[in-house]
Amino acid sequence: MNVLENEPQLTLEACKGSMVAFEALVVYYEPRIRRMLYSLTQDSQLTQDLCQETFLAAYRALPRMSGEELRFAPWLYRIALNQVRSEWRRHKHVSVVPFPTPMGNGDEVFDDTGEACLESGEYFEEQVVQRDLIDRVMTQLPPASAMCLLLDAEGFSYSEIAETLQDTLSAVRSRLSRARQTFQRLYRTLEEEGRS
Amino acid sequence: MKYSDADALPPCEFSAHCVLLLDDLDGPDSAHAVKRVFSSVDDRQDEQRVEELRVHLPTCPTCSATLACARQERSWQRAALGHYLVESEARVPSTTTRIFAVLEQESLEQTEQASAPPKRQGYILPEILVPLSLPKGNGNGNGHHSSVVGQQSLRLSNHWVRNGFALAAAAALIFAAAGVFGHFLLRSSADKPLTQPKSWPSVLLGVSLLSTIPGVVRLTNVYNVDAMSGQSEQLTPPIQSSEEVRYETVSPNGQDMLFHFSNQGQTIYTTLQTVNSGGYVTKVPDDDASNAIWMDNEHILVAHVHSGVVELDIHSGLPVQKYASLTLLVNTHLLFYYAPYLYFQNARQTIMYRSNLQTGERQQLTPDTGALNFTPCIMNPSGSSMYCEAQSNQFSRTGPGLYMVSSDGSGVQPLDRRGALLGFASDHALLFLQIALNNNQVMKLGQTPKQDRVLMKNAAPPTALIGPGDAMLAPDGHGLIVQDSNQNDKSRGVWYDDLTTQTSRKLLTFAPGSDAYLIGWDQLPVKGKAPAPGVTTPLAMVQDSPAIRRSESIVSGDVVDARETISFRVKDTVDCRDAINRVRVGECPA
Repeated sequence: MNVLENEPQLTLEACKGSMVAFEALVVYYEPRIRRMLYSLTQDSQLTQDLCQETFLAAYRALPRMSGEELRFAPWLYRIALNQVRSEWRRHKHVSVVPFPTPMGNGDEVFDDTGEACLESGEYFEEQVVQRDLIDRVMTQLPPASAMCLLLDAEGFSYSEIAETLQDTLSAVRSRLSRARQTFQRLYRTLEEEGRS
Repeated sequence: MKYSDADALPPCEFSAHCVLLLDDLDGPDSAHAVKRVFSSVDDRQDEQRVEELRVHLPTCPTCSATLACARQERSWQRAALGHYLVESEARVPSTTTRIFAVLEQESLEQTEQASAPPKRQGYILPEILVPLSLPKGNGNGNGHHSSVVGQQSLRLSNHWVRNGFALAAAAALIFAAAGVFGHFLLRSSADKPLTQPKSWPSVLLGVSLLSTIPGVVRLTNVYNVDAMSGQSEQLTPPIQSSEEVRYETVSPNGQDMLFHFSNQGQTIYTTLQTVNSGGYVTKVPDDDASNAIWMDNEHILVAHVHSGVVELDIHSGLPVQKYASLTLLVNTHLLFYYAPYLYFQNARQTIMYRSNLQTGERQQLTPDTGALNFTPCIMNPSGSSMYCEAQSNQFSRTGPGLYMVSSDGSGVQPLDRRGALLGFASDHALLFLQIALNNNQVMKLGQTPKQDRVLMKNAAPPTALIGPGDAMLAPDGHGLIVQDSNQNDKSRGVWYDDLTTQTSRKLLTFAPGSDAYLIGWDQLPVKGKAPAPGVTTPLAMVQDSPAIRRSESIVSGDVVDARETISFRVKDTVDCRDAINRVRVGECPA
């Protein structure tokens, strides 16, 4: 995963109590953690809560960590994913995914027949449909597989995913491979259902 | 999506392993990486398998085809999920402000704790919520629409309560006995975010009339109107201009406003503070003048048509910084500043850009379809997205509607709704006004149109058309100010919708011929003693306002007696152009 240029130094300083260093890490990682959490929960309010709790937990735990050895990104993501797991356990969370209405299906229909709009309109529609399909696929995947895929998409290496999920490399390799195949199968099925 | 088909090739027992070890086989230094990180027995077996496959692959078309297919699928999946993540980011407001607020609080507590006597450790106490002011961003991101008062959920201080051991223990027992202890313990700090009760009680209005003074086309006054009481106060001396005064935004702290107007070939940029101290911030030749926005409470950014964007101190008028790189866009129209980014549009307002003022890097945020003008736009409190009313222009064959534009350029999304943008609710959800069943409804944006929530079913004015920028939500969300245009007699009215009580009242009526402009909600006290207007009562102007008593035009060299020029009462259905011709002091004739 791409990291901050001076991340090891910032991590070291944050472990020693530097608020400035920690704030720099928050600024860089908050959007990433937020999008990961929302992709897994599909709940804006819950995402905000979990995101806040993630960084507060990290802040409180940092003084106990060894700054030289700590790889901040996998550690932070691990905290975030543990927050999600805890939330699911606590509420036996069943993710209800809102399906975005494709453009033109609402009461207020856009008259997008013009050529000028065609390019952007089709692009939007395709994006909406794709997001809808991915939403549905993600809810059908086992949580660990969904996490694996998202971490892979974020650019995490196997070892970083393994570190984040507290698993062995071999397990991550198998899980990711299975997750990719399952994702592809589910997506294709839903896509074909949508066409028919 | 395309899928490769390797079925025509003979099967190979290693194909499944190829897919499993795809990433290891593809890594340029995968062998080295694998050796470095493998640790378990399984890991070592995988390592060995990778080496075997590297030997096997060049001779096996089946495995090569399988790998090619797997690579294609992996690339597509990564791209799709990458885009999915970026979209997800845009769907949730940033929590950075909240996090920093709590961190700040904890830091304070640690400081207090360090200086306090030794305390009992490991004592579990309930969390409480306390308010904490925490500015983030410049707050002007919503343009003339209201910015949202951030809801800071603050985790509190165990240490605060720990100060008295005996008291804490007693309190814990009482809580436990009452059955509320558990409730507090389980409550997340974010479950009950605390709204900071900022006071945005009044609205700034610009009212202009045609002038009979030679060389002066319009006379304009700025009023502050208390939305609750209806009392009003004139804030500026009369402004003489050759064209309409253009109002920009209220300052982030609600204490000032920015506007500009043309006079004798020069566009004068000024604020309330500078006007009332007899000056202006800067002058620009009319042919080089564009709009301006607040950067923070003390600085503005002024766009020049030909020479970039200049940052100015509002008190001294001195330039702080010049951003000449923005001259590449002729007629830049500034939208928002959200540090470090300046958001702006091209002259036709069909493309949105942002520029990092620290690095100079510029980024196009929307494609140029040429079909829609994105105006007005408001930025959400986190700065992650902008919402725009898209208006059809002459190139458009589409209808207008609401759009969401990601601030980082990751996408433009039609929301499949029409209406007038209002602002943001305390949870940062977009509020907008739409006409449904012949009523103006205040709506809260949901994930889909069906999930939108109606916050007020029959907001005033009933059935009137609301133009762009004619409806504004108070930053603390208590109410809505709406300006309508009566289609029959051309008069205009200003309405206040109280969202907490679900009631509406008409604050003001402007006679035909007068132009009124909603500038924005403010935090300035209304010092006037004018009576509260009723539903049909006209605007009551304060005749003994200090601004009027000073009786100086802000345009140097044109000293006039402001009372003689414009001090009057506007009444329903009175043509004040006529009134200003005939009346010197007193009220318009009925």
